[in-house]
Amino acid sequence: MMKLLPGALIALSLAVPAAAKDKAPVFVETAAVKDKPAIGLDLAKAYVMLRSDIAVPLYLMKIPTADDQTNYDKFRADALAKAHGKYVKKQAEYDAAVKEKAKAPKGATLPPLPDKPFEPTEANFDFTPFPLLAGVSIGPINRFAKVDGGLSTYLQELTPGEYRIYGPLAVAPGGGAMGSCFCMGSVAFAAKAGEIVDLGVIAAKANLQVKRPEGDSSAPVMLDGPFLVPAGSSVAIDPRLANARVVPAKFRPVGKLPNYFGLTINRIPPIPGVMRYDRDRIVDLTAGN
Amino acid sequence: MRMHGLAAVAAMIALPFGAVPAAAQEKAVYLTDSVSPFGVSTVTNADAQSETMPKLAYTSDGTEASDFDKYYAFHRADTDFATAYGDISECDNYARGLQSGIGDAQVPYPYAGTMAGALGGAIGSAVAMAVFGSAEKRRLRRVNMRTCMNFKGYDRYGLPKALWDDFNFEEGLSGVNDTKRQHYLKLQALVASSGNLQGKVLGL
Repeated sequence: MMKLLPGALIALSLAVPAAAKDKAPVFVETAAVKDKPAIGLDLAKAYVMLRSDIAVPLYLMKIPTADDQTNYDKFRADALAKAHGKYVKKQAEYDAAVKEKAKAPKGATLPPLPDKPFEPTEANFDFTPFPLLAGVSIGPINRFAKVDGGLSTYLQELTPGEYRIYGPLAVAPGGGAMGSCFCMGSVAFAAKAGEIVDLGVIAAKANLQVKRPEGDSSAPVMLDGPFLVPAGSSVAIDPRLANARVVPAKFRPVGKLPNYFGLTINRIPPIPGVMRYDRDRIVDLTAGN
Repeated sequence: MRMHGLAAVAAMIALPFGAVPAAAQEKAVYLTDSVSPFGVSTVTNADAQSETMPKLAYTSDGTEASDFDKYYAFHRADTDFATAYGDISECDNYARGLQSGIGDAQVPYPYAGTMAGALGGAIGSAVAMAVFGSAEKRRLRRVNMRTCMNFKGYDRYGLPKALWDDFNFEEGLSGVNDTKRQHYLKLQALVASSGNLQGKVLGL
């Protein structure tokens, strides 16, 4: 069914998470590894490495484990129960006001009836979706390394798990975002404890520049080259990571997601052996891998 | 470093990725979540009967093409009304910005990570609204509709604004109510599936 929510419901859904703020479960703990002469990696954590020819942002979203899903479902159920409790109170007030009005003598001046409350239910309760509680912002600042005229390296510590590339975008802590989402198709990869998973290299200079045709104010920006190129052994790894276990990311395709931050939309370009598109349908090429 | 980083990247981009034989790739396993993340449309082909095809024919005065970046309609051959409606509706959801229950500037929980820098090919709507206001938001809507419909294989044709106004809407700082939106989206689906649009295909 199409989700077409009345304004009241949207307002409700916005209000509930704010009220329950303190109880939000932590699905992802993450921090950029800073550029220091010596670094220590935590074997209980996973690390994501990304290299790029200019400073870039990349936004990841954790794919829920069974435990994550259970915790999220409980979080949502608690918020729904709380919202429903408020609704019951408001409905009682509303019913009382209606009764009062019915009893009042004709012509009596009464305050206007409050708006009829909207009952939140399991089906219509539009709660903050899991991906928005499990985001990881990499870059564009906090580079781990920068070679003059060469590549920037980002190294991000995070909770082990599987992550989806949501897009080349940055989200400010207080809200607001910049960039584009890969809302119409992307890839996910596993980040394991004690390992650095190497996402590869973003050739941003060649692929992420705005090339808008003259006279067209609204031309979409299409990515016509690969977004991430496997680094391979020809791209050197920072010497401080010499003893770390670095593994190339193994990607699998993942489907569409809403445009959570209200940005321009896009999709990750096809990756041979991983995914391609048939119009907007995503074809999984990993079956034989 | 055995090879300068950038040179290595350039070399890798030049690799013939497309050279993987099509036959070797052809295990067309479609992802189940290739479908719209906004749910399945309940509109059917029978619903087309209650809509009237908008006027699409016009005599060019030679000036309208300069606004075809803003005023246009989509069309795809061999597409029925219900499919076109589902496609347009999905694209509309990417373009309307409030579909997740999260406001433009609202992320209800603090995010770990870093402060944003002004990078990337586009700017977010919260920032856009603060800096450029309604016009930028209307532009972003057009960008997203064009991107999404292009991915779905629809062609784009220009229209004079007067005709376009009859079955389209712009959305800036103030939204468009759902009744009006559904009506216009159905008309757009009618055009996309069976409209006779004139002029050349504009491409993306």
